Amino acid sequence: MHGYHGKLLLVDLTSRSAESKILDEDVLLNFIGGTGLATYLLYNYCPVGVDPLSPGNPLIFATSPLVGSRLTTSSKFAVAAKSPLTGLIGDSLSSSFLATELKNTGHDALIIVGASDFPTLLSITDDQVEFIDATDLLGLNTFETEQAVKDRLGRRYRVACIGPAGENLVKFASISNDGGRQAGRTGPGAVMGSKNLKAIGLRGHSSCSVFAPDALNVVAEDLSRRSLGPATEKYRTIGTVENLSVFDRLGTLPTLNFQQSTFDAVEAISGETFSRSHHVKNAHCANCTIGCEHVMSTTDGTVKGRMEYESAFALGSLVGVMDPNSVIKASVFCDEMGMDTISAGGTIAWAMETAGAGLIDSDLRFGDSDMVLDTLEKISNREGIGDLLADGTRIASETVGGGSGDWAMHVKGLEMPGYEPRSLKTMALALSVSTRGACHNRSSAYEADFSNRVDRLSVDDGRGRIAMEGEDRSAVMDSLIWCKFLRKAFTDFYAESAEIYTNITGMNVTPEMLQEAGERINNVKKLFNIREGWTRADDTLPRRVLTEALPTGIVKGIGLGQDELDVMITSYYEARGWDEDGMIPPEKLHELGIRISENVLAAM
Amino acid sequence: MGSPHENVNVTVEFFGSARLAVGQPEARLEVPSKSNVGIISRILVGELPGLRGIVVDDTGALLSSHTLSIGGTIFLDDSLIELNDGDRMLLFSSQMGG
Ligand code: SF4
Repeated sequence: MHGYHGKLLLVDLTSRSAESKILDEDVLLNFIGGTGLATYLLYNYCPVGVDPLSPGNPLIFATSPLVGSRLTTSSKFAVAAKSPLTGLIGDSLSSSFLATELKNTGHDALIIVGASDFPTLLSITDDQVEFIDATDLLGLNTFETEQAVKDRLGRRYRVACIGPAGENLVKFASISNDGGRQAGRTGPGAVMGSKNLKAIGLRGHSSCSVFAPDALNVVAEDLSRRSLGPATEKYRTIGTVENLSVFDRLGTLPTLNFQQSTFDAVEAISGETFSRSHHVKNAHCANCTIGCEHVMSTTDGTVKGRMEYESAFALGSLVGVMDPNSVIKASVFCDEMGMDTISAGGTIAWAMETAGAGLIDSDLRFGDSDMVLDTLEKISNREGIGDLLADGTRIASETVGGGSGDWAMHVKGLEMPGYEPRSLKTMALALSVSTRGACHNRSSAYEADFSNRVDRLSVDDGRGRIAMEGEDRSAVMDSLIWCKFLRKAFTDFYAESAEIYTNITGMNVTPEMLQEAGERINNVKKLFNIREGWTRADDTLPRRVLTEALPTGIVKGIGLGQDELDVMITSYYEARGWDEDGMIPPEKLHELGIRISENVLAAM
Repeated sequence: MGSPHENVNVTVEFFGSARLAVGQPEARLEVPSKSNVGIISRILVGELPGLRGIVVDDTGALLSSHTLSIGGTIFLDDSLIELNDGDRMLLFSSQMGG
């Protein structure tokens, strides 16, 4: 087998044992790697109805056939578990050297089950597994933990770890690797914390053979060249923070807990301002020619870190903060504590509005940057009001009641990203039906809205197919794994990806087969959710989105009615070949080669 | 509304690398009332040469890295479109990922 090891490593923290297991070629061909492989494994290793923070919830890391190649942006891995935030499938991606090191251990995936009875550092050196007491690492932030593990195991080890937020089971805790990169969304850090697993150190020496290295080199060089062209210009020059001023002007920048979609003080925290006044240097993941990461510093130089649009919106306009230094501090603090910035900002924005309504006893108010920092600290330590907020917006609003659910801005329990659905209707659909909750990355449906393909301010029954195609393409990207920021560098995404996959693995894959794999992966994600109790009622948007029109900017007066959302959701189910309740008919499963018996899923 | 032979005055607002390149948030342009993306980008780079190589190529065509929009809802391409005096155009990145 080329491109894969054909093996996974199963580690049981309870019994302190580990075993290698064979991964069938059929499974790899049908689910590719990354998110696809992790989804397949989650379906088969996660007991039905398991408490996400109990030992039974498997924590899965999956690499891909592209990892270890010279292909630009391919040093990535996927993480999956049942999400403590949503109770449904949770999957995240992260980047850099850890992906290669995990694959170098001789495994395509790592599954961790059980829970340790002492704080543990899991050391994996090729197929040697050690369970090391990590009591002395407790309380260290993610950067300190990574360094401490390297000091102990050796500097060539790559480290995945949690910070205090994961230790304290903050439900949107992230897993951190390679100097603060985060598998952030859906709370995998809480799952890791629930296993008493503080860190994983990885070191390996096995590489995979490539079927056609010369042909692959030619494609790799061409792709690297294209990755430096106009298709990635924004990511290389200003970075994703450029979105702030553009989105404000387009009326798509969520502000003050989605009460409006423009921010009066946007100039103060715009990408242009960050670039002019705070930029320190560009950085990049391992093996990436693009280098979208922009390290920013506070004016006094005391705090430095990567700054992304999603963090800047969530800790800026969403909470009404107009001081770029505070936004940088809050974002870096989340990385240190190991928390998803989107969920952290979204939950604080909900708390600000709830405090303003007199429903919780707190001084939190929109625009108070000191209170944001103070509250982030309380959340990561589960202190005071932080204990309530550490459970995320959905649970917090259910606990507080009083109508605060009306402005709890989440889908299926996952806080909303920085794309206003009322003025991006295709995105509204994609957010509502996404299997992991309010996610912008599993469909990239906003791309259609920002084009002449659709009218972004109105709905029609063509959106279902657009959202589905975006999801399937994203599933393939997340499984191979390509960085999403490379997507516009492809001329024919499926044809080029199929050629590359074949050059690496020697398995003759057509563009159609890859596209079908994307569809299969999304159907298995949905199957997982159905098994966990999903119903059509879960495919919806926050009440605010469906009842309040946008009050400012060029989208003033634009809303989104339940009937309009229903039209789009129905068109999505039809495009997917699902029934009117969103359930998957047996013939669709058969068509995709999916067979299930006694909760075990097999690829036919 | 202008006839095919008339010019109209529009304002182009700059975002991101375009704004950093020209050092100003917007510029007023006189353009044919029937224009497309190529016509406008050539006039734009004639007025603001700092955009060459960043937003437009050597021939004056808009690079695929950038998008020109009227009012944030209509996205210009090669088709001729009717412009009105006072229209506001937005020039921003084509990459909207975050
Ligand atoms: S484009 Fe950015 S996120 Fe993607 S691989 Fe490169 S540095 Fe990492």
